[in-house]
Amino acid sequence: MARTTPTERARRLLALLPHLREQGTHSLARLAEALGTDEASVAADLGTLSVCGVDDWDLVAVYVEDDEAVVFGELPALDRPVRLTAAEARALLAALDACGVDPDSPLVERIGTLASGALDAASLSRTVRAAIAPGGLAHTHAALSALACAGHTARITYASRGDDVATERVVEPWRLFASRGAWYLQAWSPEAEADRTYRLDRITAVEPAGGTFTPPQGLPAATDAAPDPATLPRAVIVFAHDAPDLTAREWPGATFERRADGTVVAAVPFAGTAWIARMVASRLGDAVVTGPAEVRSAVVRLALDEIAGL
Amino acid sequence: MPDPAERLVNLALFLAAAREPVSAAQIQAQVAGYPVSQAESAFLRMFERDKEDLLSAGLVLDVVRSGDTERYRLDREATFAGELALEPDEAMLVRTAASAMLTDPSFPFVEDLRMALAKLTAAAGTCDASAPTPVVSLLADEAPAVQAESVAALARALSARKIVAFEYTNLEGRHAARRVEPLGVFARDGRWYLVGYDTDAAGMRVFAVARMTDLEINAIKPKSPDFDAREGFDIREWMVLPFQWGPDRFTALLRFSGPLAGRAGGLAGAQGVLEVGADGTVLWRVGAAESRSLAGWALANGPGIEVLEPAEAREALSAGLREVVAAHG
Repeated sequence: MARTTPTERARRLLALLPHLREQGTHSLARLAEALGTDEASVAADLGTLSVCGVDDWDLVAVYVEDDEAVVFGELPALDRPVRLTAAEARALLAALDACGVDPDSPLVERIGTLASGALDAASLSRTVRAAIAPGGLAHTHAALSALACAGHTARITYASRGDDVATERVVEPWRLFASRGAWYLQAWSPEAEADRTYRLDRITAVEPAGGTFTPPQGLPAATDAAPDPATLPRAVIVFAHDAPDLTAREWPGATFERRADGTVVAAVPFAGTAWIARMVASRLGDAVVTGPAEVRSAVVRLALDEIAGL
Repeated sequence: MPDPAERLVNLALFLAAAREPVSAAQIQAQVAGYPVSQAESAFLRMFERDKEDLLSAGLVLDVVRSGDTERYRLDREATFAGELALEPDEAMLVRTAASAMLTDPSFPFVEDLRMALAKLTAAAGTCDASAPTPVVSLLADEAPAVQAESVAALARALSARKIVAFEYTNLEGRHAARRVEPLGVFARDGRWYLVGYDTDAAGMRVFAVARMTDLEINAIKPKSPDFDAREGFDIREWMVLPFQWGPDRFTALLRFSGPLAGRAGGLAGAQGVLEVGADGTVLWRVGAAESRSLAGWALANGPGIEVLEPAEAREALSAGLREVVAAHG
């Protein structure tokens, strides 16, 4: 932990105290997990605590031996957990919000009871929101992370982008990751014999599938889970001159060239025609694919289907 | 020089162990870490800062006055939390949420989150640490650490109700200095945003944090607010969808069916009102500003989103699709 101020350090030391209220040994790994830090920092903090006290005769009775903390006496004081400050409650609620926990849920309400009297949880959720996917991902998130931690296979019900029916599949859930405003599951699909990425908000049901697995050592970086645009074919799209959102965020991996008449020519990588056809059609005539022919015909097919459904 | 962190812990332990309220003089004499020969005025300044620091850790002090002397004691009711019972899936959520955000360089409140986690795990008893949690996150992907630092500053400013000033480059590339009363921050689609009242433009505005530079919080009178609290402000009203930008507001009605019915909550992004029908489809009544943009949004996120009202949006969709066919025919 780089450049910790004395104030931050004192906060950490005080937060560590209630974890030492039971005499005996505590594993440094567990303490590090509970405090969201690493074993070396916990060991250093315990060293500092062992010279702190009410006075010279009443110090914090703790020492570190190997990978354990040994508490050999009662704490002089402050052995009870302290309430969350408003800033701490804000941080925790923002983190839960980012994992799809509804601000009105009973969990958030009960965490609110731990906070200082000055806290107004409702006003917090009206001013700070980190929701990646508002609308309740919490259940899917919790179920998948439990299975991933335990190394248990999952049966998920999933509809890919563009699919109009959801299908069931069994996967080995490796990891959850959030990127560009969406949560994903990175998993091994025994059926496809390949690792696959599933958007969490397209998973409508999760249950244990009964199997177990060992996650691979050294997972590929989560952000690499999307296909590398450099390896994909490209479609050429001409955009009308005032077309909005011509960004690499909206069109991943695309390159853009503005022409003298104000129109923009883009080379857009695509993995399958379903996604790109829908993106082009949703521009309602402001985007025209000049090639390849398979993308042009996919766009026409999709538009005709949609017209038929109106 | 004694370690200031040790002095703060000693002070906290001393106050918590004291049976009676204690005076500043007792503290200077008995708490290890205050320099023995320190002048009274220097000691009092140091003690003031230390009290602030204890408060920022959650330790609330009561002041007991008798005559000219002030004595201090720990307000145990305001300081200590009760026990917290978490269901296994709740404990899992807290653990995964915390471990994901603690390693997310774009999460603005890392140090506060670490402290919150330490207190929560102390209150909830054990926290099973058998395996590393396989969750990683990146709330914001452009200059994540810079956005995190700005959002942390903005969040402090909005709690203290202090005006912020920054240089801002808008979508058209125009550059201007802004002075804003910060009211809320939110993350969406890989970016952090500030919602606030722009004092020069005299109106509410939404700013992308990634397009701000030279952010400064008004440093004059840090403890007195620059503006009044806005009752009824709700950030959700500003976390709008693309088709909701614009002055003409009307109410649209859409229907989600098939797999999208289960995803309606996420797609609706906390906007409008969702109603589950008997046939399993979901009706969504939502404010909109632009028919064509609404039609495009429904198409982009489909199949399975039908625009039912208004007729203008259905016509915009139908006409737009015919243009698509004509252009690709």
